[in-house]
Amino acid sequence: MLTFVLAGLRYRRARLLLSSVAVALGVAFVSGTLLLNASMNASYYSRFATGAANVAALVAAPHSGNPPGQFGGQTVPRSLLGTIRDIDGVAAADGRVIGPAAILDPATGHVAGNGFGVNVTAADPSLSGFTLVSGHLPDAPDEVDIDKSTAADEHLTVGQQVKVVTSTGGIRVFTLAGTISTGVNPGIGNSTVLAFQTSEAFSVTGQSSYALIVARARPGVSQHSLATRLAAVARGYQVQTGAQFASEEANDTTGVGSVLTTGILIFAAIALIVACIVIYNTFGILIAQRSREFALLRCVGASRRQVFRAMLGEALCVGLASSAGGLLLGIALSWVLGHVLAPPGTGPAPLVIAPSAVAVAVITGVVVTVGASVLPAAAATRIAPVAAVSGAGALAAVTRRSSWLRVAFAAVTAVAGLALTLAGLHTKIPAGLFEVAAGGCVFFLAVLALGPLITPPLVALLAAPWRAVITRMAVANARRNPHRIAASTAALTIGVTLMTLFTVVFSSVQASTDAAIAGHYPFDYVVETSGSQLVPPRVVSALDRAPGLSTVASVYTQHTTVNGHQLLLGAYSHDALGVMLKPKMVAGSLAAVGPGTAAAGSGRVGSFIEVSTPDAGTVRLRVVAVYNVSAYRTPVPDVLISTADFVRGFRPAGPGAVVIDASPGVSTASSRAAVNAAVASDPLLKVDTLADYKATLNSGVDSILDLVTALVALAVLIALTGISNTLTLSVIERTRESALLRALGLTRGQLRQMLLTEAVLMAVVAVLLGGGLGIGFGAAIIGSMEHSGNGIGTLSVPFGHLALYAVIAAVAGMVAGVLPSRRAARTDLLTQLRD
Amino acid sequence: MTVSTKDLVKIYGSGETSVTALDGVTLEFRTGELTAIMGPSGSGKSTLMHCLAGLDTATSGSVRLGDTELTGLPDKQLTLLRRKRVGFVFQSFNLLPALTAEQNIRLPLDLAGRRPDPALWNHLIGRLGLATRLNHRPGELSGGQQQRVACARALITQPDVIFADEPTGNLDSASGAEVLAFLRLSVRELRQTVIIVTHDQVAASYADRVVALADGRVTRC
Repeated sequence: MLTFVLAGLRYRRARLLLSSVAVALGVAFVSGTLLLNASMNASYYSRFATGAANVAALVAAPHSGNPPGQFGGQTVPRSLLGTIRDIDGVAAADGRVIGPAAILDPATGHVAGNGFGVNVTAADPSLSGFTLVSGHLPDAPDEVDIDKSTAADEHLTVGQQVKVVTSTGGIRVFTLAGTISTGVNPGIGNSTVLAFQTSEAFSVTGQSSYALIVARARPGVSQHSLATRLAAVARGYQVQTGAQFASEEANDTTGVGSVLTTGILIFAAIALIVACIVIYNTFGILIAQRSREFALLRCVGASRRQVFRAMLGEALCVGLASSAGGLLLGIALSWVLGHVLAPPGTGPAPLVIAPSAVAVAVITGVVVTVGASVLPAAAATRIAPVAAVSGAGALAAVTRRSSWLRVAFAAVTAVAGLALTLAGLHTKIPAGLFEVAAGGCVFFLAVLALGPLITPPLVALLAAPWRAVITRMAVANARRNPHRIAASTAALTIGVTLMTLFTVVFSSVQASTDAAIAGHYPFDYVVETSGSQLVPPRVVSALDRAPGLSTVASVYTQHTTVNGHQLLLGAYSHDALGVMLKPKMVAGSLAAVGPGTAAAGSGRVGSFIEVSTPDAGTVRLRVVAVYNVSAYRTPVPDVLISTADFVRGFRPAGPGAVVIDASPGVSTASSRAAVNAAVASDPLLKVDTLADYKATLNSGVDSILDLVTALVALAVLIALTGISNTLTLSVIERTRESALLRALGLTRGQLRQMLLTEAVLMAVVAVLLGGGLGIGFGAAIIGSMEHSGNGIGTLSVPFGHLALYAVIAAVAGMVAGVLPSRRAARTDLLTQLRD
Repeated sequence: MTVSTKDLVKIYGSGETSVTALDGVTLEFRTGELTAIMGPSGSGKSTLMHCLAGLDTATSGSVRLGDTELTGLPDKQLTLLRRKRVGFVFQSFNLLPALTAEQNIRLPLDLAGRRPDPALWNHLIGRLGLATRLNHRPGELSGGQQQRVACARALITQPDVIFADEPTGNLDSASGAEVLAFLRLSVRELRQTVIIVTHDQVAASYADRVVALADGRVTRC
């Protein structure tokens, strides 16, 4: 039997290639996403390994809710460094300084973005938490290194003079010694980073102690044991291993990363299902075509078991070969995606070929192929031996459940799916999201089950306006085998459903972000300083006097201890509360906040909070309003108090920021000019418009959208291969019939046209079904998110995009039909008739 | 006595649309004889052959191959019976296109996990003149060569009986004569039992005995 399998494989190379393509694409998709995932994870960690590189253990201030070393937290005294250096097992230790610093844009004379000053750890520069990109590390007090993206943005070259703004507002001139990379870092990433010698870092940033002390272990000393030794001397401080540090900070940056990981795995699963349908379909048709051959085998004495084994053997070989091919394709794919999706300026993620990802992809490829061919193989064993000798090749017996059973199954799954979805709508995410997703999958089963019943009438309905004989024949051909057309459209339906679903969801997330920002921050301009500077009162009064501005509100923020927790405390001018700051309210109103009272992001109205202040001691305030602090991507302070209480408690030299609303009817150009004129006297101030802010917040969402689109496009590609496959095989199956039509006077052109029409009809049906399902379940997912009150709730259906998808899918359907129709038209008429 | 039927009835379909293909056929086929079953199209001769070979099941009556009653035999036993005790030669050759001539000939033995008897192999290959064609696929062989491969495949298992369904139907007269002569020879040299279904008078002339069918009944035996 092995001879038979191998000979069959060799003989049918071309035809098996079709099914192999489906398997290979499926495996490519799975391995590609898994590898990309592994690579992205590695990249997140290796970018953190920039921060945690060589760090075996570290000491930071007591846990403040922020990752260790993030600017704004508490610090570690310099005196601790000497103690740590004396610990046995410490190869090197040094303190890291992080504080505010900025450079002046040579062109405008204004501050170029918020920035941080850090130090080179002289004891062991490899512990600095950044890597040198070009030039050298500062080895003189007047030298500075700048992060490579700022250097590029500001067109700075090594050796050039750079004006640095210190924490006290002074300006000092340094020489640019080199450029550095800090990786993606929640504390300092994406900002200007200036690296100095340690003494200069202290003086520029105004810090007097270390943000954290990092230590490298001697060979043979584990991270864990070093951390234990550090903890023994650093009582009262937070001690972590390098690995903990890396993963904590990675999680902090990549909250999006884990969503992405889950999303990608879901995609991989979906790709597998699509591939499964395509493979099942292909094998089913292959077996139908070869029914005569199986009958002959049975005739000469092959048992059912032998026929079954031969089929599975064939599937196993196809599965192995195409999985191997798919794996290579997947590696290439993840490499390309890694390059395409790399955030600007960070470079592509290094390609990590995780053995587990390889194993999972290949095993699933083989299992899916063999699994998908079990039913067709079982069908092959039921072919009667007499089919070999009776003239016409009898079609394989296809398992057909009666239609009432099909309808009953569809009804049950549809109801179950809808019930799950509705339940998900009333459950908080993420559980609710999973329920909606599961509901969608179950509902989809109903659509799949009903496929053979609804697809043929749909095709007929679609083609109804065209009365040409070619169209009618195409419809008749498409309807002839309801199971086949349903199966081949199902794959594309899944692809289109996903594409629509994700477009709707992401478009809605974007709209919601816009709405949330506009809702929470209904102001036009923000005047801020770099680092921890404050806006000078004279600038505030200049803004108050400026023409064309309706509201000028001061914003004060300060990290402090509230009820024993380190929280962000904020105060807004009273006229701005509820107007310019509009968080989602849980109870009470922000307008009620006055001296002696507060609004909080948690807790309940009527409770009391205790705020530690340097100048008024511990202040006890009554909570009069509670709002939702976890609003989507919009930073709202944890606690809001009155400006009067804030000024009494912290005596700030000025507000941290000023938010400004332009008067109605005043043009953006003139209001912007008025704001710029008011701040012109102070080069440390920068003006942000809401549009800039929105762009920053949305860029994250956009990059995910790109990734998702790329992944779903691949699923659609697999599905289209499926359509091409089905059509090719049905063309082969209908060779005789096509020849007969040609003999009766159908031209080659008409034959091609007929097959193309069939392909386009199948694609359009899939697009209609998939589009409807995608919009429906996209809306359900958004509904589920809305219920969770995280700020997403604006449903946005981008009909323009969706129409484009529909056109693309129809065209792709036609392209899928080109090869099979050419094949049908090309072959010789006489041989086909005689065969 | 190799093959016999008694009151064999085969009815296709049911009710008003039913067709009686065999209507009480009682026949005996003797060992070491070449029998031709003749009759016009629709006379039931192919149905008779299918029932005799265990490819199709009778509606009623009995079919015996040696001591084995075929009517009511489960599929598994029928399969083993076809593998070991029956050989087929078809009108359209019915070789597996993926296999070489040699692989096609060995197929029934491979299915049973047996090796060919070397003496018989050499005898058949020599007699059929296939020695130089063994590594060719059916697509590379002429019609006559393909049918000779099919004959070798039928004989290599040393079956109790060989059924040949219009073996010359797709051949020119010279190739047809070769195939018939070989079947004739195998009856004489190997004491093979052969049953040919045909409506070709020439083919029938090679037979020891001719059975005629019309409308599902035996008209001459």
